[in-house]
Amino acid sequence: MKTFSAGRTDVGRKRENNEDSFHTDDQVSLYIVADGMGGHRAGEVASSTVVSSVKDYMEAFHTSPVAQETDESNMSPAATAVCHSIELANRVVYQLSQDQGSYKGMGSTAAVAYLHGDTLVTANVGDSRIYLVREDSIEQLTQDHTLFAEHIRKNPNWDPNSASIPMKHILVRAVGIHEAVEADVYEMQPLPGDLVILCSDGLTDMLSDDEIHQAVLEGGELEAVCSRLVDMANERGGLDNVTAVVFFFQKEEKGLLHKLFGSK
Amino acid sequence: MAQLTLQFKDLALKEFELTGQSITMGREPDNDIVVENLLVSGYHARIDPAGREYILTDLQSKNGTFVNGERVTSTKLKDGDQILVGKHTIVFTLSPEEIQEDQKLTEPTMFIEVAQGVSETEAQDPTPSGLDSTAISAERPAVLSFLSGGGDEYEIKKKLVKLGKGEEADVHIGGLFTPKVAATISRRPTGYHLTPTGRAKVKVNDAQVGSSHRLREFDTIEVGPVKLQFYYKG
Repeated sequence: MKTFSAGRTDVGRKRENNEDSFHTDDQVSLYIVADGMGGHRAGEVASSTVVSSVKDYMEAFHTSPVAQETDESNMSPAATAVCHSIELANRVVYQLSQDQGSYKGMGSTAAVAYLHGDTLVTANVGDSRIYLVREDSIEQLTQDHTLFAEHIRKNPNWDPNSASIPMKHILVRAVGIHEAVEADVYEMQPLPGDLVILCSDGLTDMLSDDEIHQAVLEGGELEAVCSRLVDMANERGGLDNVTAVVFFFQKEEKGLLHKLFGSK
Repeated sequence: MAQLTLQFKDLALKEFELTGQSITMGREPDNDIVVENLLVSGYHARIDPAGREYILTDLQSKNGTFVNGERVTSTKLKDGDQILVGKHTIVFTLSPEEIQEDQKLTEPTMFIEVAQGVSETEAQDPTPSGLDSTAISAERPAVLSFLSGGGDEYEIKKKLVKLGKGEEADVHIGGLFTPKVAATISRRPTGYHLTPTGRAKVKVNDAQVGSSHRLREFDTIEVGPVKLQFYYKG
């Protein structure tokens, strides 16, 4: 399986700087979105540090996918590596925030997707999301680590119109806030034609899952899909930085002729 | 609920509740808010709901519409905005609940310290009662029980379980035509998903599975000579 991608980030309509960072690499099949927080420029530092740490770790794993030292027997080595890459990012951001006064309290979300062989690994911390679009369905592959989402998980019968509204933007897990962090990690088998979206909450606060799904179904080049999503969020008010990374899966040619004459 | 208060100088003349409908204001009597003043056009401005918000649009009035002293053609209203038409002021106010909602959207992301055991819902809070069993997350442990052609049962502990004949398979399935991996089962926030690799026929409850299938309790899965039943543990 091979992946093809596009990504776009935008400051939005209300904010002065963009604290989102992202990374796409179709050779390694690694995709990252991070949404930073913290005063002055700290949010940008946090999210770009998360992206570079995860990228460095996963590129090293990709080059020599050795088994990871781990207690987790329920995960593949690739999934464990993604976990470790986020733990590494956490240590780096946390250390920076301890060393430099102006970075105190900074943190970031992380949404990571990595294809290893025929297995897609997805992981997240915070409220940046990953969606799978397969045929006529859209499925959120992550759980938000917000007070709001936790409240709903614990109170499935909660009436959203009731008086007490837990704040949607308050994270209960973030990268770089504590010495350690635990990412939620999942593994699945992607199918040719599947499409995956990684995005920051600047997109999902403005658009419903159905609207995101519709925007993707309109098709076109992947760049156009990303632009469409970002533009829609901005048209709705663009209250926050918006980032959308989209990638899709294609079957790799493995026939004899391809092996003999293929470019790779 | 959003409210409009029509004022002239310091005197409140009329209060008007916005309940998700479009309204117009102007001099003509069929406006929702009639402002009797020669500086006001027949149909001066309108307010339309947009999601949870309200948009004010000047209807190309002769003397213009002003919000907090600035002339506008179209703008989103915020709590406390003062709309000036002619010499009348219309104050836009939101209820405390709406202000809270509004803050939710404009507030920067923050992190909160949550005591252990409060934040880790999934680990410590088993399925709450009254929840649809098909809608729950994959945190609930599940097993595959062999109905025919295999061992006893397999507890799904891994994030991704492979079913097939190959060495990499977690659930071994024999049979001459069984591929190395015939199908996988992935635990995700939305539940357990069965996906055939496309190299062999996979049936759930006697119907062939196309691209993927979200498992429900007591589904029977058929791969080659093996029949399995999916159910939650405990």
